[in-house]
Amino acid sequence: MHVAIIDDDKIYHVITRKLIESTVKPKDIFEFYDGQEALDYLLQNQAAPEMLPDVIFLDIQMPYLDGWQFLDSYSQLGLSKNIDIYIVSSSISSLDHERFNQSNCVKEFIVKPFTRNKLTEIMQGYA
Amino acid sequence: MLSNIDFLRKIIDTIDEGVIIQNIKGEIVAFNDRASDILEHPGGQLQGWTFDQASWVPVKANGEAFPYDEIPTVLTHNSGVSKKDILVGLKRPDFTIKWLRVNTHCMQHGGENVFFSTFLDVTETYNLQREIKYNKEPFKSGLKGSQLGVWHYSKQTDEVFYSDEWKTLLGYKPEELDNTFQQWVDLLHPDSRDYAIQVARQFLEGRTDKLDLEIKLLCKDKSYKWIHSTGTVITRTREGKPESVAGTHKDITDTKAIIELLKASEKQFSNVFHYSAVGMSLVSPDGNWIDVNPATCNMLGYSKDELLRLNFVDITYPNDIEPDLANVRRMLNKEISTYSMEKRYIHKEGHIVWALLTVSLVWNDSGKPKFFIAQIQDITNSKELITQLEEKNKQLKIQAIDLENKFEQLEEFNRIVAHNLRGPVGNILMIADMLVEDTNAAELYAPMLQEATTALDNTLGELIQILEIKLTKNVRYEDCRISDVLSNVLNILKPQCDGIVIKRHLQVEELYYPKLYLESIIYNLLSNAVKYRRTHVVPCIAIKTYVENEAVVLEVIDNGLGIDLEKYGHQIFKLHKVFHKGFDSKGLGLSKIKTQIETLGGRINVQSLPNKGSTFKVVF
Repeated sequence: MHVAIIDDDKIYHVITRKLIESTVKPKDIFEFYDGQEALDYLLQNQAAPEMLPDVIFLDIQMPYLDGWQFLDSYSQLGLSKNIDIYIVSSSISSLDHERFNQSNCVKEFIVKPFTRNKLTEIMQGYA
Repeated sequence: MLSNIDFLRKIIDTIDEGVIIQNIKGEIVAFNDRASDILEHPGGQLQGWTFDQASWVPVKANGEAFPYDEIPTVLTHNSGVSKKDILVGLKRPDFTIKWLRVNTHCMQHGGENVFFSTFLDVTETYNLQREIKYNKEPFKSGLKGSQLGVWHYSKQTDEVFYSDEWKTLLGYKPEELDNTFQQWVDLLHPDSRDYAIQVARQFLEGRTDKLDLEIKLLCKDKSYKWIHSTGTVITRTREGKPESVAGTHKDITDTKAIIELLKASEKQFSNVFHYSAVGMSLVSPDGNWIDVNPATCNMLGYSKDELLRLNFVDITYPNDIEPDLANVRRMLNKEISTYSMEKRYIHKEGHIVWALLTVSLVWNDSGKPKFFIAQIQDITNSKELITQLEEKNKQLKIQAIDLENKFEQLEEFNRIVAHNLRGPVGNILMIADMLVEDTNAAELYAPMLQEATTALDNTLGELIQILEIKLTKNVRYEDCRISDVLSNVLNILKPQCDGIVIKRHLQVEELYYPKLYLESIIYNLLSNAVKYRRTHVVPCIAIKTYVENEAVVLEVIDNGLGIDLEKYGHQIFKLHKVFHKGFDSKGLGLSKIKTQIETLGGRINVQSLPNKGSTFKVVF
């Protein structure tokens, strides 16, 4: 399986990669540092489902294209592959949580820190 | 004997009546001059003349020819009886009739019967009477339904005739009223009775030619009707006094009521004019006051006499003269028939009186302007209240904006706390987790831990800075020379400014503002403009200051990369938001100066198009 991390925090990237690698054995981990990068990648590979991630861990606060803007563009892509998107954010803003409740393409809102237990719980569904 | 007759003839020639003496054969044997006139036999040819020779035939009052036996002289001749006051008409060939009143006597003269006749021409009187009589009937039917009552009074009989209409006009049946003068007197309203009687007497005594009276008469239902009574003389006595008079009655109650109403409304208008709390005035076409009511005087502080010597322009606030005159011109051109405007007058004591003025124009019959009717309502109080209200609204708006800003700032704080504090803290927690599991990985995680704690420290530092701005600590207002500040900033940015065209348009040179903030604002705006330039055009930056709505405005205009406001508009002034890749951007500057500007009550906004440029506008 393929996992994608979209977050502007480099340390988070390193630790989360370690965490994922030690929990499941994904075929590949795609790392993006803002929404635009991720969107560009998805666009380029929309014809090749094997290159698309199965799960995305998405941050909200990012430069250029933030999590919500990414989701707006993503929902208009109409990709052939069904991707499960998890928001992983340190945001405790009620506005963000409200938006999550109204969106229908996000599976869960996970508040940072992202723990091994949480990751294991999620990954069990893809065993 | 003859001389006796001659003598008698001389006497009787002088009287008005015609006198003839006929013999038994009907031949005229003696006559006076008047007789030949009346009998229309010219110049004394009556001697031996008989009536059969006349050009006329005798007729009776009804116009029929007199049977021979009934002719008065024949009657007397046959019977010997005298006849008195017999009306005889002499019908001429042209069918006109001369009417005579005839007396006949039989006398013995010299043993012979002779017949003595006297006759008076009564044509005039007779015709008049007939005229009255004949005319009565058509009049009567003509008057029916005309709602005119008719009356007639004859002095000779002292009788008054009131027509049925006369009586029904007042609601009476014909038999319910007497045909007497007293009846009329009884019906008169007590208030005007004496006057009406006096006028009627004057008319009946011939002292006035016509009767023309407006009286109130009692109706059967006890109400009074206004009656217009007119009268005219029908016949007069020889002395010229009215002998019979007649006239009409017309019900003018409705007209009277309307007149009363008009009078009342005139009075009302007069009352309104004088007692109204609204200033009312009449103004001549050239602007002079013709009449003003007390309210106008009160409002403007002038006495009526003073105002009447003034033109309205004299006491109008200078700025309001032209708009008012423009309205007047439009009204004189008949473009409008009335206008309302708010204007200011100058009170006699010098202060301003705000008024709501409503003007209409009255034209005279020949189409020339007669006068203006102006209503002036003092709205100074309302104006003041409105001004106060507007002031309060303004304050509320400012407070609302302030609150909105504070709310936004709190949101921003929340975001910073979440992202920039919880972010690094989360990382530290995760690293701690990893270290617990694998103590050998310390070498890998140590630099990360260091990085995370440094980020945490930096964020705390930024937060303190923002808090300091918000608490307006270390802020000292001073007179700043904008061009000096600008020069300082450009000096700092000099290394990056190579090849950039910089234009200054400083309409405002001085600004009372914290110098540190002003430097920060100008530095951040200019450094952004310098940083985000386009590579294939000559970079150009313009700096403008000017006054708008009594506030100083600073604009920084560039022709650089611009920002897609549709995408990023709501984030542009937020902390750690960056919009261009490949630059050393932290997303600090705009966020900081927005906080600075808004904390001091100003605002900042941006207009931008990608690859065209940006304009940042600061209102201090």
